[in-house]
Amino acid sequence: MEAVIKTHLLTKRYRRARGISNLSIQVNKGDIYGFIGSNGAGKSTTIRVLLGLIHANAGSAEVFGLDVRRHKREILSDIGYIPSEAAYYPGMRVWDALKMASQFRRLDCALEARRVCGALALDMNRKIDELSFGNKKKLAIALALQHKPSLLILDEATSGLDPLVQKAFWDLMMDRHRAGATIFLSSHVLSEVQQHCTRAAIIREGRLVVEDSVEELSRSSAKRVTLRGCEHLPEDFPGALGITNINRNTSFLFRGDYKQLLRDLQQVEFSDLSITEPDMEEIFLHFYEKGGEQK
Amino acid sequence: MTVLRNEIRFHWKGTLIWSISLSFFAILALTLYPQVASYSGFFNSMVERMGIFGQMFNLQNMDVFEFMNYYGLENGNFIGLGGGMFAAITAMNIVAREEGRHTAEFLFPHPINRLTVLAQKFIAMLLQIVLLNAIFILSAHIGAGLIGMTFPQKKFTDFHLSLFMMNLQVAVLCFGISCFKKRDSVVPGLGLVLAFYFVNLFININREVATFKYFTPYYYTDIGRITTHGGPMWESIGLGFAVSGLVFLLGCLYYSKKDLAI
Repeated sequence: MEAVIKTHLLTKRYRRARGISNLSIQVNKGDIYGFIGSNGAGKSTTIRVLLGLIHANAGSAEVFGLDVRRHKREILSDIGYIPSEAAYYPGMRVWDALKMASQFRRLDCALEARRVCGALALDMNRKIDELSFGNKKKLAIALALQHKPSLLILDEATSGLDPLVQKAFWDLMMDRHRAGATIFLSSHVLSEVQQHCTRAAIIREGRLVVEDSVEELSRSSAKRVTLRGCEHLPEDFPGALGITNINRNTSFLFRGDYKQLLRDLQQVEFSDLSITEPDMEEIFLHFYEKGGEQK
Repeated sequence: MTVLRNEIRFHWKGTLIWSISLSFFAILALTLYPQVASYSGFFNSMVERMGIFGQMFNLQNMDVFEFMNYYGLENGNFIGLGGGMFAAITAMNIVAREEGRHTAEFLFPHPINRLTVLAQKFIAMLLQIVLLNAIFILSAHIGAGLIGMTFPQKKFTDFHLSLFMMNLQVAVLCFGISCFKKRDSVVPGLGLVLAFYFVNLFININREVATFKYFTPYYYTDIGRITTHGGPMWESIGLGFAVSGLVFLLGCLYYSKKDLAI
């Protein structure tokens, strides 16, 4: 597979805050790649290294097979970036910002800019200072898409957008994906990652915890076991994580030998049993458990 | 030239307000000249009695009622101190503002070289200083015309060239400092300008500390010294620019490699 983003043992240390440590990920051409982690996990740091805004202390980062430090201009010319909180120059109108960005790229993006703004219902004549947070986010989306880049880097892109605009946003993203773009999505919204992403990585305290296809992550991680009619399950039940009991329904995540699970369950009173794939939230929490395995 | 256009669009109003304000005082001071000159006897005896204050503004060694000297003393302060402050404020903000107001995250993910950004910002800053000085010079001519006077061409040119170089030296120094900063703040720039100004006053009082003349660009903008020297004091200007230029180069080099604070 052709790697669009590849980091190898990438490390960025800050004086006071934690950065990233020995982070090795690979985003392949055509991926919609979810990059998941809690606040301060190192998602934005990784993105800023990839964009050349900050420099790594060790390791390497390549985009389109090019080193991010040495080929920054070539790389950035084919990237669309949506920051988590966009800031613009005062006194500008939406149109001015779009025009300015296209001038930096020496491209005429007017047609695509109009199309994207239309899809997001963003008035191009409005002053940016007067826009709400959500509308500023729409402008960031238009800025990222207007030059039809082959790599989209989205940092919490849908935060602040109402559900209708989120749908419009994902329609635009999927259009770009069908046209061949690769999407790197940093997100807290795990359902979004599960719904749209093909591959995902979970980052914790600056370190990669796991990287795999979303399908494989769901399969390889713990299963959700629910016992109906079960009053009590011992806290130390083998392989069980996060045991909850609501209305005589006991539920827990299980990872281990399923034959042994069935043998152990023979010691427990219950009327019905279901073993299901966990949702993304559960996968995330599972990998964020204190004892979560780290790569 | 997108960054340059943006800077001009962003700053032209402020530059015009500064230029008009300083020019207003220049014209006002010039229109007062006939009245001041008519009381020259009284003012001369006052200057003699001023002692240390007369010394501070270097008044003892020249005829302060000669038109160009009067202009140099009065308006030298407006364009000298005011222009210096304008240069410092403009230069201190022009680079650090991108990080301070988080627009760096808008600007730098575009395929644009950091040194190109700095070059365009420097040109924008230079144009603002040129505009301020040009409007001031034009206003000075208007003011002189209003009272039926003309400036001696060489002395006027030498004086304004020295003032422009001083504005530029302050700007180059503050631009370099701005590259090291993560937040926009005009305080260090204004502090520097005031320090330079008062060091010059201090040198005028105490000639034994004349070595400090190399630390302040206000030394070479003094109308009395320019007259005595017979033109701009290029050795002092050169030395000042060598120091400011070094800070500027180090600043640019640092900025081209630094981690942007976002």
